[in-house]
Amino acid sequence: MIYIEKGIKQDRDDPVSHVLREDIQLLGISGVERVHINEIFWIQGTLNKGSIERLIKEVIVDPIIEEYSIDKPLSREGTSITITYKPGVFDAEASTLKEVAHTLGYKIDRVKTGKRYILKGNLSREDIYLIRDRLLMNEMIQMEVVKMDFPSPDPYKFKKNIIPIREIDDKELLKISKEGLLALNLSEMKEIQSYFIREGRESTDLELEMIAQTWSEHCFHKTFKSPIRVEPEDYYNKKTLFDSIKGATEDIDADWVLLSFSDNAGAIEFDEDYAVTYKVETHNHPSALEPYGGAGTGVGGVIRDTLGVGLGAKPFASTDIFCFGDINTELSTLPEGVLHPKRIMRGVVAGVRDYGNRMGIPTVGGGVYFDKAFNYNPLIFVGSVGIIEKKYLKKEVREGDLIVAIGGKTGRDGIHGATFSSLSLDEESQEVSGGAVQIGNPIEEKKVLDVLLKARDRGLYRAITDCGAGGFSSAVGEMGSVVGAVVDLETAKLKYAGLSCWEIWVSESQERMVLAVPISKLKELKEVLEEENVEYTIIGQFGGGRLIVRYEGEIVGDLDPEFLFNGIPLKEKRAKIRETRRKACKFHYPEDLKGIFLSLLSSDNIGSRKWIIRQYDHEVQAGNVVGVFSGNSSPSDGIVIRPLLGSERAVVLGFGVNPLYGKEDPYSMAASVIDESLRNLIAAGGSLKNAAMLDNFCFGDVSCEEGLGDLVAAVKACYDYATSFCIPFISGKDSLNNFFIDCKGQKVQKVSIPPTLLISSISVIEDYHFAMTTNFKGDGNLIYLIGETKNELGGSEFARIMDIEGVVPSVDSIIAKKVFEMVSKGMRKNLFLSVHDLSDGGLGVALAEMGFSNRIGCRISLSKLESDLREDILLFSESNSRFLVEIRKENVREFELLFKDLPIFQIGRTEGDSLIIDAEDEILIDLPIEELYKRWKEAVEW
Amino acid sequence: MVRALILRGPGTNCDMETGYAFEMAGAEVEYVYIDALLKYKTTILNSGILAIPGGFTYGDDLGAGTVMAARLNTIKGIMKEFVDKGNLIIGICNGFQILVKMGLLPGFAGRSVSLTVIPKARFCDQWLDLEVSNNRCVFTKGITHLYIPMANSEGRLVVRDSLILRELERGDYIALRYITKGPTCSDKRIAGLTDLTGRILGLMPHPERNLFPHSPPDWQDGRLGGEGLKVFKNAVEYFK
Repeated sequence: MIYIEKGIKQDRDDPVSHVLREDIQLLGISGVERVHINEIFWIQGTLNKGSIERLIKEVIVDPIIEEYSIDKPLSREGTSITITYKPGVFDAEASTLKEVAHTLGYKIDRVKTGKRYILKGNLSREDIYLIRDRLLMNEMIQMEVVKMDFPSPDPYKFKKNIIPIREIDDKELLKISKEGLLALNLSEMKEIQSYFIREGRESTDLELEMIAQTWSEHCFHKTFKSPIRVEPEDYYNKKTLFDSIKGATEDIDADWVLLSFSDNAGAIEFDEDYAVTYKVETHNHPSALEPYGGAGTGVGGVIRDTLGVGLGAKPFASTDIFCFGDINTELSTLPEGVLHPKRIMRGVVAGVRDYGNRMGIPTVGGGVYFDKAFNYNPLIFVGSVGIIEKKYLKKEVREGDLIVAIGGKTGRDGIHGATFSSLSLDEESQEVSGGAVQIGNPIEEKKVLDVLLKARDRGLYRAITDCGAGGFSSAVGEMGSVVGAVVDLETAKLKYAGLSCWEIWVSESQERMVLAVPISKLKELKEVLEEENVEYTIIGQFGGGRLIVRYEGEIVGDLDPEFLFNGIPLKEKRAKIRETRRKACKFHYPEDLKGIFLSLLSSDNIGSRKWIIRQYDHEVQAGNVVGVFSGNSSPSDGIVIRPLLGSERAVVLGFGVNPLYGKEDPYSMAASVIDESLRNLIAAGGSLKNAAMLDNFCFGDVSCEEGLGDLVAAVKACYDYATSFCIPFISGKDSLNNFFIDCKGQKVQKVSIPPTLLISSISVIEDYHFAMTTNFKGDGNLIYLIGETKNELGGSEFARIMDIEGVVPSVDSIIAKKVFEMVSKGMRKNLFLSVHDLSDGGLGVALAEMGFSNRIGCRISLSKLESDLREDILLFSESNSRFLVEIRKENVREFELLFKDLPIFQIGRTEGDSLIIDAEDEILIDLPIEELYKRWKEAVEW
Repeated sequence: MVRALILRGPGTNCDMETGYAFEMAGAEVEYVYIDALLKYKTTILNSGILAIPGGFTYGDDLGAGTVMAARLNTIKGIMKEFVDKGNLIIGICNGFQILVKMGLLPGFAGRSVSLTVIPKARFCDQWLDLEVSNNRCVFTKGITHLYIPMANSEGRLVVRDSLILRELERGDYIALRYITKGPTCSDKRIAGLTDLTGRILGLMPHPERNLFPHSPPDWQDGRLGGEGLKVFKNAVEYFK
C-alpha cells in the first residue's frame, strides 16, 4: 500500500485550519496554538516510483500552495489524530481519484482517503478527545485510524430464509417485528399471518421486509389514512385526516391543478405548454444523527422526486426551512448521543449547501426557527421545484417493459430508513440506526439528471420513479402495482460484496432511479447513458400480475400487489381536542420599549439570515428575479424566479411556519401559516388565481389522544382555509412521532416537538415585471398599513422576549381574501413602490426591514391606526393578513378607491435615515436605520 | 455565424446560461461532453469559441478544477493550436480554475498561479463591482466596469512569488480586478486573467448571471442589469 500525505505549505495561509482553531476555542479550549489539516491517500495498485510522482503532480498536489510526502507523514509539530470514513461510507475523493487515475492510465485497485489533524499547544488528553468527538469526527460515519488496511467483506452466500409465521402466537409475531426492526404492530402482523395462511406457505425475510417498508408510517401515512374518532364528536366530520387535505382539493376543483397527490410531486399550470412541479420533504431523523449527510441526502431525495414526476421534470429551485434547538443550550444539559443544536445547524446548512450547489440548482431560501423544543428533534424541510412540458406529465408501465436501474450502486446504506423514520429517537438511536444515515454523492445525481432529460426528450422510457424510502422495493413495487414485476436481484450493481438479497431489495442507497423501458428503445437508451458514463442495469421486467423477486433463479419473494398496497388493517384512532386560550392576558407596558425593539431585531428568530443564504448558490441557472433579499439587505417575503430564460413568466414561492403558535393553539397556528404563506406570495407579486399549497406536518407523539387531537385541529384548519381561500393542496408529507425519550434525569421523560406545519405555496406571475420587492424606494412616499391590528400576542416574538402569554392570531378569511386580491390588483396597476407583509415582530420590525436596503427611514404615527390598543401591542402584535405598502402621492386616490371597503391606514411617510415612531405627541422610537441594520445583521452569524 | 462550443463534464452546472448568453450575443451554440471531446480531439477546431462554464466538475474533489485540468491536459496541444489560429477560450469560475490548473493561464512556463480556498473557507455568492483595464483581452474590449456575482469557495487567486505578480502587472495579464478586497482576498484584487494573445480569458465571477434587467438583486432600485452580456458580444463581434 502506498501512503501519500499532502498539506498546505507552512508559509501559506490555510483558512480551513483557522476555522477549526476558532471552533476549538468556542469549545472552551484555549491552549491550541496552531492546527494543521493534512490529507492522506492510501492507494493499492501497481505503481512504480516514477508513476507515483507523476500521479501526485497530475491530480493530487497543487504545486503553488501544497507540499507532500510519500510513505511517511509530513513533518508537523503537535499531537496527531487521523480520521477516515468507516468501511461502506461513501468516500467521494477516493472514488474520484480512482476514476481519474484509470482514465489517465494508472493501475490502481483501491483508494481510501483520510485527514490527519495535528494540534499544537498546551492540550490535555481530555481536550484532544473532546476536540476529536465534537469537531473532527462523527462516530456514525467516521473512525479514528490506528492502522489502515483494506478489509474485504465476506462474499454473500445465498440462502433463502424462510420465516415460519402461520402457526405462531401473538407474542412470537411481535417478537419477529421487534427483532427485525420492522415497526409493525400486532394487528398488522396478524394480517400478514392470515395472508400467508391463504397463500398456503411460510414467508421469507425479504417479503416481511417489503411489507414492513410499504406499510411503514413513512411510506403509507397510516395516521392520515385511518378512520378517526374525535372528542368532541361534532368537531370533525370527515372519516380520515387525509379526507380533509385531498378533500379540500377535490372540493375546490381548480383547473390550474395538473397533478395532486398522484405522483412524486404536485403540479400546476405554468403556461400553455409547461407545468411547474413542487414537492417538499422532511429529513428530520437522519439529520439529527448526522446533520451533514442527513440534510444533504434530504436535498438529493427531494430533487429525485422532481426527476421522478411524470417522465421527469427539470429542477430549477430548491427550498429549505429549518427548526433548530436553542443555540445557547448548555452542552452538559444534553443527553448522551444528542448533538448540540449549533453543531446540527452548521452541519445541516453545509449539507444543503454542498448538495444543492453541486447539483447546480439554486437553493433560493426559506426560513430558520430556533426553539428549545427542537433540541432533540430538529426539523429539516427541503423542497424542489421543477419545470416540465405538460406532454411529459403522464407515465405508464406496460407488460414486457424492462426494469432499468440507473445511477448509483447499491450498498448497505439506509437499511430500514423507512421504518426508522417512523420510530422515535432515543439515546440508543445512534447505535441501532447506523445504516440509516448516509453521505450523498451530488455529482452522481447531477449526471443522472443530465442524461435523463436527454433520454426523456428522445422518448426512451415510458415511466420513471425514484428510489427513495424503501429503495427498489418501493420503486419497483409502486411501478408494478398494476401489471406486476419480476426482478432478478443478483443483477443489481453493488458498492461492495456481502449484501444479502433482502438488503439489496430495501437498501436506500442514494442517486438511483428506476425506468420502465420498452425493449425497442433499450439500445438507444444505453448509448445515451454511456456517453456520460452513467451506470445502468436491467434488473427485471414488468408484467405477470404479481411482484416476484428472484435471486440466482430462486424465488425469494412473491407477493400479491393487491395485498401489499391495500391489505393493511387500519384501526380507528381516537383524538381529543384541547382547550386553547381565547382571552388576552394583562401585562405591564415595557419600561424600555426601545430596548425591547432592538432585542427583537437581533433575536435568533428575526436576525439576518445572510450568513446562510450567501453559502447557497442561489443564482445559478440565472433566473433569479426576487431573492431572499430585496435590494441588498431587506428580507423579501416571497421568492420570484424565471424557470425558462426565453419566457417572461415567473414562479413565485411563499412559506409559512410558526411552531410557537402551534404550542398554544394548533388550529390558529395552521390558519396563520396558511395566511403567512399566501401573504408571501401576494407581497412578491403572485395572485390567488393560480396558486396552490403543499402541507408538511411535523408533530410529536400522536399515539396519545391529545397529541392526535392537535393534529386533527391543524388538519381541520387546512380544510377550512384552503376551501375559503380557494387554494388547493397539490402535495404533502407528514413526519410524526418526533419525540425523544430522555433517560438522563431521575425519571424517564418524553420530549415532543410543538405541533409544526409548514405551508409552502406557489403561484405563477404572468410577467416578471409585476414582481415586487420589500425595500423602501425613496423619500417622501406615503406608507399605508393594510389590515386590522388586534391584541394577538400569543406565540409572538414579543411575547417570548417579554415572557408573557396571549391569544394566537386568528384569520378572518373573508377579509383576508379581499385584501390579497386587492394587493394583487394594485400591483398590476403599478400602484406600489414596495410591499412587505407583517409577520414575526409585527409592524415595528417590518418598518425597519423595509428601510435596510437603501437606508431609508420613515416617520410613523400610531394614532393613525385609530385603535384603542396600547402602543406596544400595536407595534409588535402579529395579527394576520396585513401588509405595508409604499405609494407615490399621485397614486393615493386610485389606491384608496381600490381598497375602499377594506381597513387601510395612512400611517406615515418615508423620510430621512431614521425610524421615528410616535403616538399622540410622544416619540416612542427614534433610531437611525444604520444602527437597526447593524443590530439585525450581526445578530446571528455562525 | 461563429460557433461557440460549451464544454460539459460531470458536475458542470452553468452550461445552460452560458450557452444562452452566447445565443443572445449571436453565436451558434453546441454542447460537448468531456469524454466526447477527448475522443474526437479535433472537434474543437470546428468552432471559434470554446467556453468552459462554471460548476463543480468532479465535485471539486482533489481541488477545484484539478481533475478536468488533468484530463484536458491530454489535448493541451490542440487547445494551444486552437488559440494560435485566432480562436477564443473563456473559462468562468470552475472554467477559470481549470484553465489555471492546466497552466494555460497566465501561460507562463510551469504553474505560476493558483486558485484556492477563500478566507471564510466556505462558499460565497455575492454581487461585486469589478474594474476592467486590459488592452489586449478580446472579451473585455470597451468594458471598464462590471457588476456581476462571485459564487465560489475556491476563488482566491494566489501567485507563486512576487516575480510572477510583477510580470502579471507589467505584461498586462490582469483582465479584471475587484474594486475592494472583497470576500476572496485575491493577490492584487485579481478577479480574472488573460494570456499573451488576449484570446483566453478566465474569471471567477459570473458575467452570464447578469444578462437580464432583473438579474441584480437591486434591479428595482435603479440598477437594471444586463451588462454581463457585453463579454459574450465582444467574443462574437471579434469574428465579424
